[in-house]
Amino acid sequence: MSKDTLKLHLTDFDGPLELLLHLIKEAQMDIYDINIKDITDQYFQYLQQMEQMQLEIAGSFFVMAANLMRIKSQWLLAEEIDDGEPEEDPREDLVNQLLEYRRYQKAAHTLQQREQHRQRIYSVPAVQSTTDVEIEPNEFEVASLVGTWQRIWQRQRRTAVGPVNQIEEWQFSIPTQAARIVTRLNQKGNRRLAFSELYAPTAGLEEVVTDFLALLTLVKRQLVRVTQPVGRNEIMIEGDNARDEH
Amino acid sequence: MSIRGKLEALIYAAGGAGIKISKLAELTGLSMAVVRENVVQLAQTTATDDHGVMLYQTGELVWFGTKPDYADVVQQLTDQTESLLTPAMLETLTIVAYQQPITRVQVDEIRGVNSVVSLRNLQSLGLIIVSGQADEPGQPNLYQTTDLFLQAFGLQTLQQLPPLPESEPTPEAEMYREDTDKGDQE
Repeated sequence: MSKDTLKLHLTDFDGPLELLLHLIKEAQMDIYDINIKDITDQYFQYLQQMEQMQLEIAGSFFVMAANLMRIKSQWLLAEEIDDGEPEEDPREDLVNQLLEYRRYQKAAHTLQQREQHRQRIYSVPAVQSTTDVEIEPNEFEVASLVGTWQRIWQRQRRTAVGPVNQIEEWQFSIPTQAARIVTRLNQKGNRRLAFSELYAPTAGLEEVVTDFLALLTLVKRQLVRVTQPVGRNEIMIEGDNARDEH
Repeated sequence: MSIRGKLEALIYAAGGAGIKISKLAELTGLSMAVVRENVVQLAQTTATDDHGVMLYQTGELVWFGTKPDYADVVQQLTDQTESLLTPAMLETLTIVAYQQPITRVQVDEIRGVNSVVSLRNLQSLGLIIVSGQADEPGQPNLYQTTDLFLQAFGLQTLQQLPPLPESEPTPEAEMYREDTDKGDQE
């Protein structure tokens, strides 16, 4: 295997099994009859390259390296002793593991094709709903919160002044921001407030994050309810009993 | 107003996230059986060549979407793009799909790598959920796929998952025995 190929694939491997399958394929070996010495050499060469490029190598790669060394030594030992007695092939477990892994790799490929086909179907968001979102156990409320958060932050980033990578002392506290949210809610006749109304379009990451955390705290303490009308990105805050508590 | 018209209107308004058969029954006051029957008819009608939009069903969810045949046309209008799934996430999801319910350790064993990050990402995307705890020491979480998973992969039920590829037939035992031509040579 040339250095270029190695480089090309350096970061492509998610785990040692995937890497091993790749090396076996590259070397055109029979998976049922792996040349354990060659494959071990190649594997170590690969790890070395990763180290030279100062990439972080996951522990599982080292575990596999140790496993390969063990198989190799057993293999050599068996050759040396060779008393004609049939013995267990030291490669057997590894081969079975590789075969099993390859089954799922193939299945993953099939699923990926299905997903690509599915993405050729377009659909529209739901009409804006005025009723609360029903969150059922099997649904994805976290995903929608995360999505909302990303949109909020993207919007902030577009309008924010100054560099966002500048680190300053944290100026906002969760209790203060929570109290502010409650006050703002109480100022509203209908006790409903959109999350984005809480801060100015130029607010920094720090303020938005703190507001978001404060909101989560209030939800946890059941002082406010949060809804997200279907199809809208906005989080609506409702404070039915907020006034009594504060 | 016709029954089918009402259902069509509701399903359309629910958008791509879909609406459950039970919700349709609740909103129209019809029985589940009647809803199902009409949904099937709607699906058949919209599947004909005259339509660019058709009714899809995934699990208990029904929804309208464009037909894949028209993807290239619609693509001009939208920038909706590629998958959110990394190869690691896809692999993890596949294992959960076929082996559910399954623990993290069992997924790790098949992948030969720690899958904790992939599982967490899949969870936050709503493609898998924790469905319970395994009855073994430490009571690890059991993971299973969601209806959203079915929808994302265009499946109606888990039974529609393509069969897991068979292990290749194990060759004769001799193949495992040392073979000086192919085997390890010093």
